[in-house]
Amino acid sequence: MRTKYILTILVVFFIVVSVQHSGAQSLTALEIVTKMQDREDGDNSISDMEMILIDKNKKTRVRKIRTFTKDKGEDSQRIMFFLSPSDVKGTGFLTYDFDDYGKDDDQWLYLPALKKVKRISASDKSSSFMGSDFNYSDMTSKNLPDYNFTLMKELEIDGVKAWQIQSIPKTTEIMDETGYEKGVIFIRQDNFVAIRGIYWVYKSNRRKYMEVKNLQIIDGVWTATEIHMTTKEGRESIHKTIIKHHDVRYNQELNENLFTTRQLEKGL
Amino acid sequence: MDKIRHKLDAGFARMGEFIYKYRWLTIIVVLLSLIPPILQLPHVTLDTSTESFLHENDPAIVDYNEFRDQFGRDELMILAFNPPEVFDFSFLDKLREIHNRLETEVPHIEEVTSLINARVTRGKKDELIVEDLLEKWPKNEIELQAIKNFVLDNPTYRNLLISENGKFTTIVIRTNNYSAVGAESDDDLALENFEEDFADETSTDLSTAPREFLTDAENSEAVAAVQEIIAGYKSADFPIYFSGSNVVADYIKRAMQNDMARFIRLTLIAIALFLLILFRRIVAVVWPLLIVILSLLATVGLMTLTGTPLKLPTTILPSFLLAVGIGYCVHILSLFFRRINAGEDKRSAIIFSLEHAGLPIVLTSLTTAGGLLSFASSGLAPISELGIFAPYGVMIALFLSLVLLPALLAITPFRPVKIPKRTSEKKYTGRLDKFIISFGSFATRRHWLVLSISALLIIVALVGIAQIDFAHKPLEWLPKNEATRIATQKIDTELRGSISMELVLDKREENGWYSYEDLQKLNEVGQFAESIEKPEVFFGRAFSLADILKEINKALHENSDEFHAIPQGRELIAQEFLLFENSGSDDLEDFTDSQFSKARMMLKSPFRDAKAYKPLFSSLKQKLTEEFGNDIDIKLTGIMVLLVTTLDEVMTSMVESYFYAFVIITFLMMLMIGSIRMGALSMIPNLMPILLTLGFMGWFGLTLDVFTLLIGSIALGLAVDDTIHFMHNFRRYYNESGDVSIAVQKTLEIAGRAMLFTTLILTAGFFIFMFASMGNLFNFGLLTGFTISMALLADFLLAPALMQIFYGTKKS
Repeated sequence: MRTKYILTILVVFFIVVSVQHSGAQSLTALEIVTKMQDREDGDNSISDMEMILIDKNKKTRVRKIRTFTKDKGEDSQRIMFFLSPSDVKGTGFLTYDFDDYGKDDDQWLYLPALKKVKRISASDKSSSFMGSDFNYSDMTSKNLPDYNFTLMKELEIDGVKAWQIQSIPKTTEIMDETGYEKGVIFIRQDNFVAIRGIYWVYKSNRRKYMEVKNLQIIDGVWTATEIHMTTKEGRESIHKTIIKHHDVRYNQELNENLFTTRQLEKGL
Repeated sequence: MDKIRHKLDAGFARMGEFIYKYRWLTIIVVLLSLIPPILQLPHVTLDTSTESFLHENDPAIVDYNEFRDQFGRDELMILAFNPPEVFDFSFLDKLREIHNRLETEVPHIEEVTSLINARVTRGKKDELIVEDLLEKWPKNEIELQAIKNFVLDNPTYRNLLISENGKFTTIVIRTNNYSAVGAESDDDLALENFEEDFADETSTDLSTAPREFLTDAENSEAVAAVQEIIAGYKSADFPIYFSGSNVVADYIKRAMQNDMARFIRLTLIAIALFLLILFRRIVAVVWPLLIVILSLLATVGLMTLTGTPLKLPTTILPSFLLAVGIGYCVHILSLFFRRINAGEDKRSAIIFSLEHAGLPIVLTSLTTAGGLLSFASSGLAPISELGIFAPYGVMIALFLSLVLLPALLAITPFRPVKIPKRTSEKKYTGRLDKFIISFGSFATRRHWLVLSISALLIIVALVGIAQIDFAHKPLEWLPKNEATRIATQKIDTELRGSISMELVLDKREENGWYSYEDLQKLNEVGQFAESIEKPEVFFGRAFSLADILKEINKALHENSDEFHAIPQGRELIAQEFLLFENSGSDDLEDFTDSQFSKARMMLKSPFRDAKAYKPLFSSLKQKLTEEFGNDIDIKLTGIMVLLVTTLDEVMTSMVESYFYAFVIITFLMMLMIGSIRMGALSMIPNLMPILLTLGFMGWFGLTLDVFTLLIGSIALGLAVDDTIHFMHNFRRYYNESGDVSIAVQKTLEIAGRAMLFTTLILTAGFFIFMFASMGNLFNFGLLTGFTISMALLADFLLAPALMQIFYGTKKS
């Protein structure tokens, strides 16, 4: 009789504790990821991107690219011009990224030496972005319903609380398209910024490790001004890309004509 | 000299006494000492890859590894299909199914390429299209026909994915460059390593620890997985040809495993029968077998311990060691049983056999080891490994025969005499002895005749030797009707090559390959290479950085054929490359480094005798010098270069090893016989059989390769054993009688039978290689067996004649 009584108290105690506990993390994995994706990122942005490519022989190549982005309804647009190296200065890329996932992105390029604008039809987002360790799919937002998200655990990274979330594409088509068969992302609880990520490359034994090395608030927007992406095979680093953003500005007065092929031809 | 010999004999007698006294201790100590190497046996590895023939520090291998680190693996597995029509839905459906299954089911692979996912870069008005060829599956015959026309018109795919006549198409599989060993992709580990992974990220250092290339075992797993998949599709009216140098290596490995097991089995059976006939006691079969098996296990164990994999030429090691080791046991046992049968006790029989057989066994084992040791410095890795581990094995066999065998005999109970058998045995051997002696007396009587015939044979042999040729043609080791060999030949003919040579042109300058002039020259070299035609060999396809650029340039100019050329102007080149890099293809990293300082050219070629490549090489080299002068650093590598380097090493190895073996053994002979003159004379019957064999090879067009080059030094090391026995006894009896013919007769009476028996067992041991599934081993076994038999004849005929000429006349 007495033991039963104690047992009941214990059970009630645990229920209360666990309810309180789960209350603290009432967000589901999908909610967290949605919040991450919907985070304020300004209507438009300008930045000078410095891309440092490091190969396995530690040889580096540095590219400087001026980037303009703009939201247009649910879609987004981006135009980029190479500032250096000098051989490719003026080479430009214009991209319309459509929110509708059934629709391929539109992309145009301009080679100043050829003096021609070409539309590029490449539906493959799993390919490398500008020869870096980033894929095109890393540069655009995800279609969340395509994935299963699981909250793995909470942890602290550099003294900040974070969620560790696994994302697995629901179909092999998605894996093929994005180039990844699985991802584990680490999202800061205070600002919903993904500060780390591990990505398992589809049909490969490679993994990619992403880490935000520098995060700051610019014009009210949390901005990763230095991101590292390392491709590894086992413990071995194969290739690495460091992206640094300089002179980032948000919500500027941007000419509507900036995101056109004519501008691409005109250059900066 | 005789004094020393007596002292040594006495020493062996004391050793026999010691072993008898402490027989159990001896057995336990010896067996315990064998445990460490034998425990290694489960870890034994095999390596039959093309690169396994060369040392790791060979410049060709260093270049090759550097190439692989930069550009990945050059060896490709090729599946060729010959359907009634390539561009037909029913075939393409099947191709797609096979392609997808290969991609998902085959381990250790990096890339599968076929018409299904061939890179298409094409222009359409103001559009640049980069896609997989069959990404959008054709809906009808018209679309299919359009694809067919595109593929056949596009030079990019020629001889890589489709044959020139459009009848053959391929699936090309590139395996991983590096081994998965130690490169776990385990999920938990990935997370566990998270901190660690980022710990080293604080610096921009990337790990440069050397990584192991894809192992032979992993290669085999991949080959086996492909075989399994295609087995489900292959039929008489739907042939699938599967080849590639790594597929050939895999076949050789499996054949080698089977062969080795078969050789060991056959050798053991032959030995057991031989011992049973010779001694008619079970124990005389069991103990020697135990001795030779232990020697073999300890030797292979030591190889494993030092991380040396078994390679193709090391296949001969087991049966060689078994045959040689048994010879030592026979010498001891025959003396031992002679005493036991005469009614003596075991103790004195052991002492007696060691006293009389100890020294000769040590001496003959030294010459055998010396002959083998001559391979140790070879530039061919497996040959030099054989030159290190085979002498080691011979020494183990020697040690076990002198120490463990007597101890084992000491603990075995024997019935003393076997009278009924003895008479018949005696009668039989008596006749045999007489027969052997008749050779000697004939030779001493008709010494000039014997000598003249020998001289004539040597002259004929020398003429043959002048025609002898070197070769390295691994493909021909495979049986003629073997599927991999047929497939390789088919692919070599229809798709103009199954292996490749790689050119790496290093300008040592960032963005060096943005140069129009240099790309133009590279393009020229490629076109020139494709135009070279030499007997049997050619470059079926050249593909380089220049071809990628031409392709993209054409696509940027509305697919106009006139723009299938290097674009003019550094900026344009740089921008087109940037575009390509950004277009979703990672093919660029296969043909240049990230700095654009190196350019790679792949040159496809058929899998032939390495010798045939040489004129191809010199033409290409000449063209390269013409175009580039000495301005840039050019490296030639790839499987084809490894084959040629191996061939070169075969030649130098052979010359060096024959020279060393000759010097070592001549020196040992002089030392053992105790006379420079007689030692030098003894080399004539030793060398003659080798000259005969080489002459035979020359006359019958058999080539010297990684196997047949072994014959000379191995046969020399073994042939001298008989000569030692002959000279050793001859000297004694000649000193006694002063008469050559009497000395020869007595020598053959005492030693002739043992010489015959050991020769028989050795010849049988080598003839066993004629059961090999690989042609090269067949020749090796036949020729070595022949050489050793000839060596015995030389000792029975030529040696007595020489003794008569050099010692007989003097006396009279």
